[in-house]
Formats: sequence, structure tokens, C-alpha cells
Amino acid sequence: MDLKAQTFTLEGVAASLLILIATYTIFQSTVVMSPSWSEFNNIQLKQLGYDILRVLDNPEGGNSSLRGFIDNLTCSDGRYFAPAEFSSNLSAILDSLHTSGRVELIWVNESRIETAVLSNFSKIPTPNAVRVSRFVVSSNDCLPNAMVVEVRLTLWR
Amino acid sequence: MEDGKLSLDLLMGLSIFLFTFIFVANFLPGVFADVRNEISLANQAYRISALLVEDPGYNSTWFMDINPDNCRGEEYRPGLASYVNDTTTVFNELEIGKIEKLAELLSIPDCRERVKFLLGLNLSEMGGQTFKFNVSLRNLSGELITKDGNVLLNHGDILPNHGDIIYPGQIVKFERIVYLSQMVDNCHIIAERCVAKLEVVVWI
Repeated sequence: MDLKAQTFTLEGVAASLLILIATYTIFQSTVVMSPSWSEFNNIQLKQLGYDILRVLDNPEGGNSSLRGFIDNLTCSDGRYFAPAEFSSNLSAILDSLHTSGRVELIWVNESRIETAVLSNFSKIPTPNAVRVSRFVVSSNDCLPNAMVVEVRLTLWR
Repeated sequence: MEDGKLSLDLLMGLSIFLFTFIFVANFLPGVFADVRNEISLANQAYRISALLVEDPGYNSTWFMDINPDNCRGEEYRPGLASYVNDTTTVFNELEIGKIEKLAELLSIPDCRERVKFLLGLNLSEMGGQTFKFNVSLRNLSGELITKDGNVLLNHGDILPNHGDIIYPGQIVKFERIVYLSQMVDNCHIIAERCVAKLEVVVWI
């Protein structure tokens, strides 16, 4: 009877036990590596974006409000210009937060979804940018057939 | 005569390896013990800012009912959001009266500890962690908001990094853009609103 192969079997058993013990120890350990830690910057930026749009959405806010700037939007040669008051106020907010921003308007024109980018806020965002939106009931000749406009703010640092 | 199937060398080597591996695996969580509590700092800062900015507090007249004499005995929860017509919370609109009341409570040590307990920053009674926090209102230029010449809100525990003191741990700040229910000295007027920045700082 040839007994030479039994050592390999025993080693195989030992190896599988080792892997089992290692896997069990790793999964039952209580090391906490919170995944949200790296997303904190995104959460902060996104919350600031929601806050900015909420603060600007004042029905009595004149040209600086969301509705006011859409009502008084001007356009030429495919470029869209918000009132100077809105641009300077939004720039002041973004500068104080050390953030860059891009503002887009999206509306439905008959069966198509149209997009317009505000000229003063038309930079290309970085890959880690966050995006927030708010819907405004407004219309403007520059936005044909628009009744409800989505104001989309993209923020990045 | 048959030889042994497992050599002594193999058994000893395996034992030493397993012993070392299990030792390291069991004590690895301890390596992160110092930072584990700090991982939740960001969550606390976000939660406190949401409570202050998006909740009018409990009950809705807490800022009129609570004063330094009863701040420890009464059940309440501070919140700064405006509450209109007894039905509607106006998110991000902070009531000046509530801000002033919160500042008053945070300036008294006993009331400050009670407020921290009610905001969920003191979980020691339940075997949890205790956090320190500071809350301030600033304008978009970074200056503290003042009303009638007095700082409106820059209260809580003393920030750890001040003067020559360097704090070795984590400090987390969460900012919110808000507007105030009344005009004050130095806020930025945007869209006919008195816009400010609420900063919540949390540390251990």
C-alpha cells in the first residue's frame, strides 16, 4: 500500500482550514471604515446647492430671484444672459463658498427637451461636480413654449 | 514501521503562523479605536445643521417658553426655522427670536449642556460618545452677523484651535446658506432676503 500521497491531502486540509479561518476572522472583525467619509465633500456641496436655490426662490425677489431672472432673461446668437443683479449675487455666493458653478435651464418645447446655459455661468464642471435642481413656473420668449423651467445648478470645487 | 505523516517542523510553523495571524486580526480594530469616534463627526455636523435650519424646534414656541431658569427641567428641542401660521415650516428661514434664544442658552454652561443633550450630542448616559459643538452665523464675507451692534450667534463650546493651542484631533465644519426673518446689520441682501451662512463645527 502506497501511503506517500497522504501528506499532500493533509496539507490540503490544513490550507483550506487556514483560508477558512482567515476569511472568518476578517468578516467578523469590527473595523469600521465608513464609506461616507470620502463622500462628505459631495454632501456639503450638494446641501449648499439646495440651499442656494431655495434662498433664491423668492416670489418677491425681483431680478435676483429664480423667477425674476427667468422672466428677465435675454438672449442673442444662442447665448443667454441673466440680469446683472442675479449674476452678481450668485457670483457673490459662489465666491464666498470658494465654489464654481454652472447654471442651466431645461424646459419642454412641444415634444423636445431644450437646454440653455447661462453665459456667465457656463464653465465646464470637473468630474467630481454635484448637481441640484429646482423647478420654477415661469416663461420667457427666449425659452419657447416654456411653462415650467428646471433651474439646474452644477457646483464644484 | 510507518513514518509520521506530518513533520514537526510543519506543525510548529503552522501553529506560529496561526497564532500570529489571529493575534493581529483580533487587535486590528484597536488600531482604529482613536479615529473610530471621529468618523461620525461629519454625520453629527450634518445632523445638527439640518435640525437647526430645517426644523422649527419642539414645541413651536420653545424660544418663548424656555429661559435660563427652566432650561434644565423642561423637555424641548431647539430649532431655528420659521414656523408660519402654526402649520408650515419655512426651510432655511431662521427666526431671529429663536437665534437669540439659542445664543442665550448656549452662553450659560448648564443650559449649554442641556441643549447639547437635547440635540443628541451627549450620549454618555447611553454608553455613547460626547461631542463638542459651536454654531455661528456669518455673512458671505465671513464676518459674524451682528444685530444692533451685538454678535447674533457665535456660541457653544470654545473652538479648540485658538491662540497658540493646536488641537490634534479632527474638527468638522458643515455650512448652510440661510436667510433671516428680519434685516440685521451686515447681511447680504439677495433676492430681497437677508442672506447669511450658518456654520456648525463639531469635534470630540
